[in-house]
Amino acid sequence: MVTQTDQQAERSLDELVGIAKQVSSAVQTVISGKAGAVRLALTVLLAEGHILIEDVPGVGKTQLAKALARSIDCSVRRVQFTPDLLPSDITGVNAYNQELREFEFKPGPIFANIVLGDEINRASPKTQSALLESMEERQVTVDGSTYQLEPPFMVIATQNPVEMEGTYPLPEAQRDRFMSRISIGYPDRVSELAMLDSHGGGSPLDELTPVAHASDIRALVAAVREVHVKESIRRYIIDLVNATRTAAELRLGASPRAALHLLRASRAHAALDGRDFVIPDDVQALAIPVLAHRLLPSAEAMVGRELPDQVLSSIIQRLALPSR
Amino acid sequence: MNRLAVTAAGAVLLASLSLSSVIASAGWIVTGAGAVAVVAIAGALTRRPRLPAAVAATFLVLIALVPLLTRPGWADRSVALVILVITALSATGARPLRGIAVLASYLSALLLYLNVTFAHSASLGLLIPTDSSMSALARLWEAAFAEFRYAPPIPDLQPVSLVTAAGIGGVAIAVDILAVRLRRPAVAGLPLLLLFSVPVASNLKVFGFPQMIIFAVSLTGYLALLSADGRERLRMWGRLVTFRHIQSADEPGSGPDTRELSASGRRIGLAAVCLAIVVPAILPTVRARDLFGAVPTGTGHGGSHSTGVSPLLRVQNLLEGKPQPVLSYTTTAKDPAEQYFQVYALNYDPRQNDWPPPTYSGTRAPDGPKLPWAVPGVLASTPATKVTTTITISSSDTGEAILPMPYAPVRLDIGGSGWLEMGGSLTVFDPAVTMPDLRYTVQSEEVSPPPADIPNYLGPPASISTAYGTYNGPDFGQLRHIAVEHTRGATTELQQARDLENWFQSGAFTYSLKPNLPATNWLLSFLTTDRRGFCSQFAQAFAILARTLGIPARVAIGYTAGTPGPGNTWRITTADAHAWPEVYFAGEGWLRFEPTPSGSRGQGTAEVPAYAGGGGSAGRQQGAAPGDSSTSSTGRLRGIRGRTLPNRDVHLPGGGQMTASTRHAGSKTGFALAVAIVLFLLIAWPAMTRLLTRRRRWLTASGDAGIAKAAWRELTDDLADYGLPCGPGETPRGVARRVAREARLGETATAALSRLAAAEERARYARLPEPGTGLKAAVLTVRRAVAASVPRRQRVRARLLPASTVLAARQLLQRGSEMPNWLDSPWPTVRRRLREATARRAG
Repeated sequence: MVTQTDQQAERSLDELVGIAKQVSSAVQTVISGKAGAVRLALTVLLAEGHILIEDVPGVGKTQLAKALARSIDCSVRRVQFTPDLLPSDITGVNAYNQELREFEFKPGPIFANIVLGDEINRASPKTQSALLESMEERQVTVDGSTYQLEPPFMVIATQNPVEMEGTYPLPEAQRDRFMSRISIGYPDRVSELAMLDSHGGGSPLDELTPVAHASDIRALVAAVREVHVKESIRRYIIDLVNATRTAAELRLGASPRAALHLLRASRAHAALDGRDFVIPDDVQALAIPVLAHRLLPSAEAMVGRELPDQVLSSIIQRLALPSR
Repeated sequence: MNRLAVTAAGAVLLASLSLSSVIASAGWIVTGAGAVAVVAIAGALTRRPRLPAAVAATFLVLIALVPLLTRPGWADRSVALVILVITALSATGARPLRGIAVLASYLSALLLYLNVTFAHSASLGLLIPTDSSMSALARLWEAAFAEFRYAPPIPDLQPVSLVTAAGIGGVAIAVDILAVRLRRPAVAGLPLLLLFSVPVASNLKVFGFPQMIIFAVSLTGYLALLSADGRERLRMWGRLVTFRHIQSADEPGSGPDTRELSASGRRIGLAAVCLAIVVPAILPTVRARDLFGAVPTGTGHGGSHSTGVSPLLRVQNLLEGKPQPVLSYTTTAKDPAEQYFQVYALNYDPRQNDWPPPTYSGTRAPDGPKLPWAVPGVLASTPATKVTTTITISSSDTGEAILPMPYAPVRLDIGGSGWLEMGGSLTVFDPAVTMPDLRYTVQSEEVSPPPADIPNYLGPPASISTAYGTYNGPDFGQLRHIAVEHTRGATTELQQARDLENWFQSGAFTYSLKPNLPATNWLLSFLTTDRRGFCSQFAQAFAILARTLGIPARVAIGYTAGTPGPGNTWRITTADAHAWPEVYFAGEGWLRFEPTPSGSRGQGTAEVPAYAGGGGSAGRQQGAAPGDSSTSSTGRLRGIRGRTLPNRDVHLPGGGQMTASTRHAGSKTGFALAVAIVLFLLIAWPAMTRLLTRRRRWLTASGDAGIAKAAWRELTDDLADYGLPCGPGETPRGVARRVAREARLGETATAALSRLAAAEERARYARLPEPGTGLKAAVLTVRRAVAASVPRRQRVRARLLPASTVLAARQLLQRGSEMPNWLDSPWPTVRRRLREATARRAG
């Protein structure tokens, strides 16, 4: 017995999987051999989160962001963060219009569907927090007037973990606002060879044409919200987050916001699999990308070179699955 | 002085309370406390800065060494000077020097204290020890060890006080060094244990409620020491600060999470308690106390102590232990193998229903040096052979200084003047002498008349027949009936005694060092049903049966003749320890009998004396032949002139050997059957449980979700059985992926597995479950495929010993072991309530 709403959900899910696959393959024409990173980026987009890409220079952080933005027919703005960048350079300013004799709001680069913040750690904390505020609230307030940001809205921030001199690394509170952190990593031999071939002549980014529209994405986001999460899965998420708080190897555990992010991302992950219900596999697959960047290892764990990633995977292994 | 040192001293003092059950009255506690205090003060002095500590140590050592320094001769003086110089040089801070100085100051302080307390009259100005005060202490010390020979509680005499104070002081030094100086309070438990073990090591068998209380109180000292050390350590580090999580007051459970740790601590405790209960229950120990009754303790006023250990029990201990040399001797006896060495003789005490150790009351010094003694009951006209035996006690024997001598000794050649004789019993001892390497010569009179010469018309004197000729213990009627039954037809007392001996020797009884006799009324059971025992039982049984017939009898303790060694020397080991009955014949005195079987199936070197039917050397050859007791006993019977007794013991009325062995065989079969059934159940139990679980699971499963759940449970159990158990965090599809890879499943099996995983997934997490049809078949498919992929051994194991049931049992055990954790649960609630209450009051 299948109800009307179920049929609708089924239809939109099928549609979603089709579109997502198109977007994914489009992005992969630019970034080859990184299906996991691309899928994660899509997951975060559908879960209405933001991504922090942390990796060494030249592995394709910006390329990934650009390809994702371009494969969806939506507005993309890129901000190169520098130490002298001001908050108003991001949010926009009220400028005096000589003709109309009044102040007119000139929107900044934040007013786009996808905002690419390159090397976010180079900007001053003041500017960083301006960006992060609008990320969280999905609105900008300038001189007392509030301007809503159009959905879909996703910030893709990149950060270079190696070159740290003269930068302002994001503090824990700010990192917590990103739904997920992605490390792209070096491509394998075959992919790197393929990249030399395809990127040798011109940029494949230029040849990329949009395969989905912003309205499609909005519909898909709505569909993701409908994905069913059983009580036991919610409890599992809470257990997982709690385990990071009591683990001896961690000095700082995951926040309640992290639990929320994990739930949303799991929904999107399930939806991308064509499922209308979340299973523990979704949670487990996303635990490290969603939680690891929020955790701080204890001094002993640091000495033992035990990264939060490893701690998390051992927690996942040990934590009993929710019974029904 | 710091808190830890005070706690350590307190712990020693409390631990020494456990000595109170060994030593009568309480004067020693004061001197012991003084020793502990002196040691604590000395310890505090050694922990002063380098220079003052060295000065104090030098001063102490100088005073303590005065006796050595003032002694003539350079050897002592130079040793003293070296110690003094080392102590003085410790001011330089060199480590080994300081160590010696510390030890020297502790010991000096203790010595000075003992000197002032016990030998101040001989000291210089009541304080400084002198040569004479030292020798006074030494005398006291030696005298104390003479006291310790007796059963506790020991009277609180000055010598005992000295040794106790010195012992407590020594333990206090060890504890102070370990706990305060080396900061190892846990190790300091070992010297404390020494104090606890004193009452245990003694033969004090009293352990009642007061002892329990004393033990508990004593133990608190040690616990306080441990906790004081813990606090001290924390204070050294300061407070533990974590910035990981600041807890607000209303949040439960502040502080680090130690639940896991305390849970495992409790588990260890539980296991220890279980072991402490189980191990003694399993170990096959004879409850000696029940067999022989409690050891009577002396009154504690000197003069009438009893020897410590129950003699019969001691014989058993000696026989059970590894043979140790006791003595060697040369003798002029005609047949040395018949010559037993008696240590002392026991009389039956109806009040205790036991044979208590001899009392030393009424001791007398021999009438002159090594004088001839009159042997009780022997007339001057009785023919006797004079035998001279020279005995050397081996150095390993540290037992009581009671001389083993051939009965009856009439002349003794031995050094020392303190030898005493025990109330006319011809038992000779000296409490002030230790046994090792004693050498003495005994002249004894071997009364060995031909059997017919023992008269029965002369009755024993009244004193002997009242003391030894009656039996007022339990089961008199039955015992007398048995005695009469087996001596029917005998006309003389000698004949009666021989008949009894023959009965015991006839093969109706089995020699065993591990008799399984009941604690009460063991004698009747030994004589009628059990019939297994060793010399103690045989000797007691013989003596009591003889007494029920009115024949005076006692039990002698000592050694058999041992084995001949090189030359003329005979050797006696602890394996020759023995108990035998002696019967009193007017005019002949006490004559020994031998009811205990000899040879390889009995007491190896036991010998039946000639007058009692023994065949001398020839008979011995026969009698010692293993397993040939009937022949030898017949031989003995023939030796009795004028009478040929039928070997009637084989046809004993009322169940002899045969009945016993048949019954034994019957119970054996039953036991074997029971063991087989239990074994079968044990072996079959896991497999049966597994089958039942499977059946129940499929029968109770209902609805699509229920069937999916049952199928998945069944599958995970199967996987566990075949050695592919699932982890706690493994998801259904994770399991499917791993199993397909590890078991290298085929396409059909992989599809079935995926189907099961998907069904379980949907049943658990989706809005609606999948239809459950075909899941049972899928489980079967997967089980077969997995079984085919594992080695044969694993397959058999999965059938016979399925891991899933074993795991379930283990979980059950785990839960059981976590039971003590329930103790924990009320605490947070109680603490929260308290906090709330205080907050309310403050608010």
